[in-house]
Amino acid sequence: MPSTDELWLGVLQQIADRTAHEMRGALNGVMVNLEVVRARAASTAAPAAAVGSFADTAARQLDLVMEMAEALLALTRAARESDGVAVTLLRVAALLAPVARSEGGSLGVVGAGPDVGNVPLAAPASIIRLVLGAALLSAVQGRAEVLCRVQEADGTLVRIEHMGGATVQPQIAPDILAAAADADVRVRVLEQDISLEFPRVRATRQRTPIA
Amino acid sequence: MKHSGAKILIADDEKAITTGLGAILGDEGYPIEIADDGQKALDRLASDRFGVVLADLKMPKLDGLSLLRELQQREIPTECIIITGQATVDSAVQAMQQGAYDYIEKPLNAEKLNRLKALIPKALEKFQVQQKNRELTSRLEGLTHYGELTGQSEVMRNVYQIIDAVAPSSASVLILGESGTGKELVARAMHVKSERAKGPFFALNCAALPKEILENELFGHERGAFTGSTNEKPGAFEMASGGTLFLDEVAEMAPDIQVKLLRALESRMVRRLGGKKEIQVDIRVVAATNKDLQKAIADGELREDLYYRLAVVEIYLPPLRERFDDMQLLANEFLTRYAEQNGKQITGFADDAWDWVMSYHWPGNVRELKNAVERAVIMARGEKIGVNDLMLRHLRGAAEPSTPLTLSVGNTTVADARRHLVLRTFASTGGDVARTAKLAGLSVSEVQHEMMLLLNGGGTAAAGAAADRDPRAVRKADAGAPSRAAAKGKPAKKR
Repeated sequence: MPSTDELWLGVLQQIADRTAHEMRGALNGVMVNLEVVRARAASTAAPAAAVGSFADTAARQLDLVMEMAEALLALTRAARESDGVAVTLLRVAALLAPVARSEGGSLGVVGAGPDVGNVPLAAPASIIRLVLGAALLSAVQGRAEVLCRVQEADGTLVRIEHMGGATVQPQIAPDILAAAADADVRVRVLEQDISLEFPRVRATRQRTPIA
Repeated sequence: MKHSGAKILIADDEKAITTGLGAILGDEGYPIEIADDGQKALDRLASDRFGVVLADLKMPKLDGLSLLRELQQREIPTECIIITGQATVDSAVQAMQQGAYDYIEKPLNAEKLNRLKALIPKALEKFQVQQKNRELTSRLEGLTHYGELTGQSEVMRNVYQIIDAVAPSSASVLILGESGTGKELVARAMHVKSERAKGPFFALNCAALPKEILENELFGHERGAFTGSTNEKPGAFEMASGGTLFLDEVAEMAPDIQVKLLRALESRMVRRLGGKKEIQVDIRVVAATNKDLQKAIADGELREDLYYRLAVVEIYLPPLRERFDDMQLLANEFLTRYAEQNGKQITGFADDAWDWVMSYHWPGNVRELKNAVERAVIMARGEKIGVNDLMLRHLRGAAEPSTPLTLSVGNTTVADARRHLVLRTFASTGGDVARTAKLAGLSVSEVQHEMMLLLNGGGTAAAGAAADRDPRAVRKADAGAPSRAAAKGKPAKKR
């Protein structure tokens, strides 16, 4: 059976593949709009208003590229235990949300505020990242409108819901499901929704179902 | 070239790119439109004309390659430049093979954008050259038909050009050509192409009417102008006012009517028979004749001054034998028309039929070809018209020498004799009512009337009597087959 890192590399590769076009698109947006600014700035006749909107667009595109690049770099590094479910989820979503938009769908995250993730979880950070990445990768397909809800109770629950547009049932590789099960992460795929339960760490290692 | 008005469509789902590219190319002077997915781009390209489309390879709904394929399939004219990421160069090459003008790889840095700016004028130039070719091709294709005229030969294209040039003017036109070449169709085409198209087109055959009636038809009469004229009647000049008056066989007109016609043409005023007041007319006269006008003038049949008044512009319509290039086109067109009208599944002419069509001299011109094909379509039993369907029946009457018509004095009435003559002439022309009428010196409706009488039994005895005396008469009568269809001007059914 492949190691967790090997499985993660496979997932990350797929995320990067799907994200590459969007990153290039944003970079092109930066360059093209900067070219407008440059060309118009060189013309003495061009008023400031004629370049302002293009400078803004270039800046927004640069922000997007930076956000995606930051997320990609963070996910490429070794997983840190301090990275909770919410942080990891937001990083994956930062990469896959532009993909969903370009395919005519959407990807949103609710409940992943700064106060989420303080509860220590039983599963290691590498497994959390692996499961979240694989689940979101399979959920963002075609024109699917995906909403991720993060809830914290006796652990952390992530519900990946399809609000519309989905045509295929998400599928997570058996190796990943097995790795998740070994780490006490419960993964359930019900029709087009996915539920991920990350139980909190317990001294007795006794499992308590999340309400 | 870039300011020639040809628009550019940018098809990309990345708004930041489309607005930026739009601004860059807009600053270069190009009219720009943006479509944010492939389907919208296709819709715009189908409904409007764009010289160049810049299409991202990866787009929602319809990607760049599919868009290109649709453009090819629907034959939408535009030059497509594909914008692609580095990872999809293979697809870009595929796009080139599918007819894309070029492709630009992302990232769209200053160098790539400069390359794009250099590519666009070239792509637009190619588009415009091809556009001109398309228009020329379309125009040439269109020249196979002009109004109701059919023909793609050099001589007919010259005729079309003259009509095009002359139609908008008010000049009188004289159309010269043998019978059956389509002189009236030329006159109609000229009318339709002129500013008088909304006005009436009034055609009058000057040879078909006796002098008095022709004068009455041309100028009209007041009430009581002559015995029996209980109502006033406007003439052709008045009825065609605001439009075109077509005078066919104009050289057949009696000399004193020629004088009145000349006066009407010069003054644009007419006076009805029995009338006192002059009526102003706004008219364009198109005349036609199949006569040798120089001889007619020399013989005093046509006034020279009328000739010059009518022939401000002359159009010569060539006989069909000089339109070798049009024979197939015309024959096929008539075949399609009559097969459809008669509900027949005929796909074309057999080779031997073509050989004959192309070698026959067609003295009756297009009209003769039309009649021959109509008859052949009705006679044909196979999917193709053979030479026997076409030639034998068509030429049977014409090929055989005229035969004497024997009538026995004492038991033949004038009506019987007339009927015999019509029947025999009808048979000899192979069932051509118009030609029968001409040869027998009758009107078409008179011939049709006689044939209907025969059908209703009025001629049976006479035909039988003729058969007793001359067996050939029966054979010819049978061949002529005076069916109801024939009596209505259509050829008889095959026996």
